[in-house]
Amino acid sequence: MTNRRRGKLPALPARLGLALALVALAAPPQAAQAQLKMDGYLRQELSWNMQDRVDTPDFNDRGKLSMARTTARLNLDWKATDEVSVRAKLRASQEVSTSFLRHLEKMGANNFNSGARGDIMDLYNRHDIGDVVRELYVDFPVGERSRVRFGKQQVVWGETDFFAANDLVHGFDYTWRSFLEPANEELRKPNIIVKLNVDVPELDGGLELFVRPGWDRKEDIGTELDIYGGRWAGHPYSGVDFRNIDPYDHSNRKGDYRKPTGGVRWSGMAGDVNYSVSYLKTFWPTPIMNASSTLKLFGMPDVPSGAKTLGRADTRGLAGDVIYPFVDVFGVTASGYAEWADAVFSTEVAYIKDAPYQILLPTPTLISQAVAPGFDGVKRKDVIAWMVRMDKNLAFTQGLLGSEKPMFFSVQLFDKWVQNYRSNDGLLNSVGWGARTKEHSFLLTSIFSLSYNNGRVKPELVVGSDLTYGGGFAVPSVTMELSKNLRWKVEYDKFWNDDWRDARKCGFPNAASCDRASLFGYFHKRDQLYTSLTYLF
Amino acid sequence: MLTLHKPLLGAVAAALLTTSLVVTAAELSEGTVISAENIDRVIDDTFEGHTIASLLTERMEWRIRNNGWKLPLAKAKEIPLDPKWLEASQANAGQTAINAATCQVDGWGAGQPFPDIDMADPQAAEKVIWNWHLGQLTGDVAYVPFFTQVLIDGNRGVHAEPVAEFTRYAMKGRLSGEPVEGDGSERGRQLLYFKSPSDMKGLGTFTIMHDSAKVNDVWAYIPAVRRVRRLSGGAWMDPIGSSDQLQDDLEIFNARPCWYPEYKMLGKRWVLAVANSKTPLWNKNARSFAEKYPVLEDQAPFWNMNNNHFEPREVYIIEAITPNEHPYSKKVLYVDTKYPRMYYGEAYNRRGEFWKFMEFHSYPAVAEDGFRDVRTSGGAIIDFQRNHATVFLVDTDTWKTNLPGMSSENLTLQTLQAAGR
Repeated sequence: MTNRRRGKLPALPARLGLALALVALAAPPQAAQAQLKMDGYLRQELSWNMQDRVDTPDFNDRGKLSMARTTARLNLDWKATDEVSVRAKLRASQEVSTSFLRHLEKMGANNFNSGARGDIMDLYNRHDIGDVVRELYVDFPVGERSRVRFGKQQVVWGETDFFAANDLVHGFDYTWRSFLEPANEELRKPNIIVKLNVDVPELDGGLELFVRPGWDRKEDIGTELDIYGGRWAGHPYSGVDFRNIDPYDHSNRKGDYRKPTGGVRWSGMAGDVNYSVSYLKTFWPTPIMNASSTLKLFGMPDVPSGAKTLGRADTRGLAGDVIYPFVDVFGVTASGYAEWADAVFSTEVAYIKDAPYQILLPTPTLISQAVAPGFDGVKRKDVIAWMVRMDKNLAFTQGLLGSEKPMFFSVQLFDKWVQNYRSNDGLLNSVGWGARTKEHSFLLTSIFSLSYNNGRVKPELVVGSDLTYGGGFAVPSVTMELSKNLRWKVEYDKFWNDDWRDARKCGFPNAASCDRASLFGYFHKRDQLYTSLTYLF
Repeated sequence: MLTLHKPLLGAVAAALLTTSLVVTAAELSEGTVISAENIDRVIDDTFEGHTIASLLTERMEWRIRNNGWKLPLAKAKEIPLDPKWLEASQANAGQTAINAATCQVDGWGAGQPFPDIDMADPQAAEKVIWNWHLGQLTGDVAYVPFFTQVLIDGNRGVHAEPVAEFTRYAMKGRLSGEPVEGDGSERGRQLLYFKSPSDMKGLGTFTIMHDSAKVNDVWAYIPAVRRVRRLSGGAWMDPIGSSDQLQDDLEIFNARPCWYPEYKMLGKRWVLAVANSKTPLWNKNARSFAEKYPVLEDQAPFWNMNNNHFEPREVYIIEAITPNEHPYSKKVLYVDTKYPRMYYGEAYNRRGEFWKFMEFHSYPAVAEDGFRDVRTSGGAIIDFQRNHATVFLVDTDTWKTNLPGMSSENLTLQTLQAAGR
């Protein structure tokens, strides 16, 4: 496993030039009628810590700038012929160092393979060609009713945007912005895919098939959490680069990035209801700790740890490897408008065969006792991830709040239902934290969106509550259109939790049993004030 | 000193005044611009035999006097009506009836369902609305690759100008080939995509309009999450995006007629309206305001379409009473008596106060297959209570009606998904 920092390329204009050249090369030669259109944005984002973190002792994080990020996004759309088009979506981001980030770096953030101190900015300033060229694909028809899209792209299935059930084709990058980005296309990791769509109007629907041949970079697989100790590292792991003891293993037999994946989906209309059924073979997006089967972490490579390593005899890392195992997902979605409620109801169900879970043995391995729960092995369980949602426009806000149109209101209940659940399976929600997975894991989320002054002022509130493990979040924001091309957004990201992992109580041998922290415990003392200014072109 | 008897003086004055009026009540020439500067002088003058006063509604005159609206006069020109449409319309005479229970017009096949409007008919107003709803001269498919929806602040000017394209496809009342496509439940389909600004680009909607009381089925493709999402079909009374127009205000009146509880025929009259519009009213590639929006004036309130041809048109005046939950209490509609076309609409709030003025300009054109259609070149929805307007302008050069080779299979939910990027 290498540090995720890649070989550096020349300056941004050179990289964009290279990307443009790629677009040109990818296009067919009929250029007489060619039309190249471009658009995009320049964005400056700033965020500040609003609380003093517990896991950065001797440093007051409150009020410190946690992100100062400048992004240029360029979308190119080349209609090479009437039938063939090429699209590229390029993005380059550059952050400046802040005292807070430097402190995390000093603590050890992103120091894997870098000695005592790494360069934390490498986490955020990713300028590899594969990072800058977010997408690059060609669209062309095949016969009367079929279309092919080939290239680096995003394939999005399912209904829900918050917690993925069927939206598992790609992983997400949560290192620079975790959990809160409403435009999740910015966080999704595109892959090289060939996709075929066949319209079947006779059956009021269409078929979508795709294959990911396995040509992606290894870092483009799986959801990337901040296990590097950066600004979005879960509490209490600020400044801790876990790869020092459990690096990525993208080549594991249970989830090899070079192996093809793919899926097929039928979507159509049945009366007034639109629906889809799908099958997907993909990487389980959540990072899974493939624990070491030995105690080499403690200098005893010949002593079994008690955990069973998957896919190879033993891990490369001292304590384990992070893997993204293959899973099979069978999905169903449906949505329809109900006149009686004047609302749109949507649902999706994903039956995930053999979803991997970290486990905590009754007698945890020494690694878990020393590091954190989750180094005891992996257990596969079938899981039904399902969601129901109601979208409704509430007209009373026009009178009560003076909004120019009814408020958009959306409420969603999400659940992960473990099949054949047995409490003594010892399933964990995540490595690193102590919450034991229950048979059902419910999350309730809501969106309230208003509009004033002909869309020039748009307040929004997104709230969520973890009904099973406690905690939640509230994200009030206002987006303002300052001019035709200028957008200004101000947002507060508030988290709360019932339990959080207190590192002071988690020393050996209690590391595996000292907490019950779950999702919102990871965000303990992580409140942020965020603002962005975007110039559209 | 010469003194005159008072009654004699009065008679002389009256005679002089009459002579003066006779002298000044002239027939105005084409190109005369009616504006706040001259309206008092020309109000009693005539144009094509109508006094200017008789060609202006109360709200029109108020806009001219108080809001910078200027109306260049143009001679009325006959709108050529397509023979196929005329034939289909005439075939409906005496054969059609409004079915309140099904919210349909029984016996209608194509063309306008009620070609002969009898002003004494208690259903006259409703029939004019059904003619508008089912019988417009829009062709079977209209493809408009570029239009803009200019959002205008009355004090500060244009603050947004998103560009989009739309395709409308008639599933019923078709005049080329079979009159009905599909199972007969759909009236039409529409696809709409935004092209700019960058944060709206790719946003698309697909709408199925039913030939019944059923509300539209609507889906949206949202690029930020790369997903198609079902929208509420019950939003027909809600504003479109951030604009000043409700879904119901598209081309002034966009509701299924039975969704309104009552229509009143207030009579006929003549108005100055744009039925033979200049084109284009929007040059999408131009840079300066004057070049880009040749019909608008770059001064407050910025929304007046002052530089078009206003000609005398005879219209029905119809009062449409809204359902209780509608933000308006009523709409007053001005509909051409010769063919289904609305020029003006007035919207009143729940307190009965004047709220919005809607103005649409149109022109006759020839479709790809020779059909003679009527197209919108531009329209304004002016919210006088909020001093804001939405001006809809079309790139008329690229508009195509009755494109060959296009079928309803080109307008499906799959099409919306496939266009996602």
